[in-house]
Amino acid sequence: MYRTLLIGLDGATFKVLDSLMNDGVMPFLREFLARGVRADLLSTPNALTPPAWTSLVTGRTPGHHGIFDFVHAEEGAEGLYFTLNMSYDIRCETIWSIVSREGGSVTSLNFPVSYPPWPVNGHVVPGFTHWKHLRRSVHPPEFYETLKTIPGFDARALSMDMNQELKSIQYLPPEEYLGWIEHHIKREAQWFNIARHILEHSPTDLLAVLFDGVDKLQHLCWRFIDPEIFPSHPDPTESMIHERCLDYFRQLDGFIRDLVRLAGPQARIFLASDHGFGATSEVFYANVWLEREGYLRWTEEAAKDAAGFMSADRIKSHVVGIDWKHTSAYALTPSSNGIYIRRADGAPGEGQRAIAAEQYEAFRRELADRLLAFRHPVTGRQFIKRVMTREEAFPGDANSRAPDLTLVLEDYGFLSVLNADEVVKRRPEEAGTHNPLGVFMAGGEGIEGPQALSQLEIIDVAPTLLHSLGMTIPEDMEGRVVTECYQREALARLPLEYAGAAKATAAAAQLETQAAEEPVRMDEDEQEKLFAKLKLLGYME
Amino acid sequence: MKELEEKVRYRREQIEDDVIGIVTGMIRDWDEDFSGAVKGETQLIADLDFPSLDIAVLVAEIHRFYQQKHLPFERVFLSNGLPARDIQVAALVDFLYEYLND
Repeated sequence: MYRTLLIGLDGATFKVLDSLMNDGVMPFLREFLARGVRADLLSTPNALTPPAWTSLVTGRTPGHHGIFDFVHAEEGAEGLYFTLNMSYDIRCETIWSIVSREGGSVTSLNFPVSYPPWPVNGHVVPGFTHWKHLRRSVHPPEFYETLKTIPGFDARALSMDMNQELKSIQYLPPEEYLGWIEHHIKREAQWFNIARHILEHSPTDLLAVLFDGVDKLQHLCWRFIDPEIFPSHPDPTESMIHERCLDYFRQLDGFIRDLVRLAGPQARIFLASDHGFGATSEVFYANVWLEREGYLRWTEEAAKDAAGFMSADRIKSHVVGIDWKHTSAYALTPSSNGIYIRRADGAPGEGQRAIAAEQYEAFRRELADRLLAFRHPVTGRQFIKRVMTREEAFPGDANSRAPDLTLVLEDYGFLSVLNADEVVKRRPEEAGTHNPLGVFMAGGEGIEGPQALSQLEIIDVAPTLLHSLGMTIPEDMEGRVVTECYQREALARLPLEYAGAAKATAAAAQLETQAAEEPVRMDEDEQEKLFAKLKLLGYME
Repeated sequence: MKELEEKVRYRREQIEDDVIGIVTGMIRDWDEDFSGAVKGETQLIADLDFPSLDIAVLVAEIHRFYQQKHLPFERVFLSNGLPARDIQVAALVDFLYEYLND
């Protein structure tokens, strides 16, 4: 078993990290990768924080773990009922409980869908938790008293106000940008302090900490961070915001450095993100499109979106503006990028427009075809790149809460569920949005570096962590151990162990294939060529 | 009636004490000076200023307390397809009395 450290960087992308490393903003990360492993990490079909991190910590795809969004809604006799996804909504085991079950100790800090906390052998401080509920959210309960002894601990600074976060990633007046960035600099320090305290005083076999400020900053400040977009001659305000963003990443680099050093030279270090990032400049008003195509009707009270802002309470209340009796399909949340079809199942109040079972497939197919046929009203280009059915996007026995159709927009942006006077509107400013390719990095004892691997999948991280801990990998994990990141001797010392014959056979075959191929190594010359290529592509200065 | 009540696993009075205890505990976490009494007629929004997030957490805490998952709370929180304007503690208790003893 090796002490294992997982550092989550929500929304991190090599497009930004390579630029920051090259510019000297993240010198430790550059040094880490000079000896370590890197790879693109493919996110879940809808590249979104709750399903993606849940896939990372379970080694299973969303169709098997059952988390597709921050919330889920169920249409029952009383109407549409929204609630937050909780830890008990995850339909399979997480690495937190697997490690505990196998006799190890684990710390989970700031991961979503972690409340209520699992009763693990170790510590859990869930992410996405308002300070008001932090004490009740922590495991073990007495650990909250320990948190209060950490110098500088501030529950309000640590926690997340979902309404404020949701508002801020959509729009803030320019004069509030610096305060927003400062807020996340302080918040990230709180999580670092907890991780540091645990490593110093009560280390666990696996410590996992998630820094989500990367995502929050990139949503709002993408145009100040993306090296392709940031102006070569910025005005004073742009410079100030850009520099403050760099301060955030400088601090983050220091946190990574300190945690790696505290973990010790015998530890294995993994860094990963749930998805990448890119730019988005337009909004697709899905429910407006559905209304114009005859699938949805607004109530007379439904107001048109003036500013395009969405809050957690507005997500719940926007459905009040939908005339359910005359609606057969609707978009529920921006984050799901999904369309739900109302099914006629005999429940009272379903209305005339619910779709009977025998008509469902044809109805869904036609809806998908019409979405794909939609053209941008000004440019005429195809705006919706892909439409996936539930079975295509999320195969598995836990997909009943998934949307009937999941959209992928041309810029990977999120749709809007609000009412508006146009189907497509230009954003006031270019914003950041999620992108399918996140990051995977590894270093430490037994890691074969430097090397760049082929693209991995987010479900590969959990089995790789379990292998690092010397633990048996459950047979139902869909991901694989990334054996190519290890030195041969390290693999020989710690062979893979699966709970089930089928997986063991497949793993052995993979290792044999690997042994026959030339090892992928990147020497200094190749590194320089990679950096040169990145410069040509405009990812680096 | 007495015979029926004797067969139930959870008595209404106990459920009421449990729910009041959970709600009171939640409030004390963010208002250490809170000295009011939560009662059956207390309304979550009008009296305690619970936004939807706090209600979601309350639901999770109730699930956790009774070691349940996915109780149909929409029967309390929705009315004629719309979010209820407010929820009394007693309404939660009545709901739990019915579904925990089902």
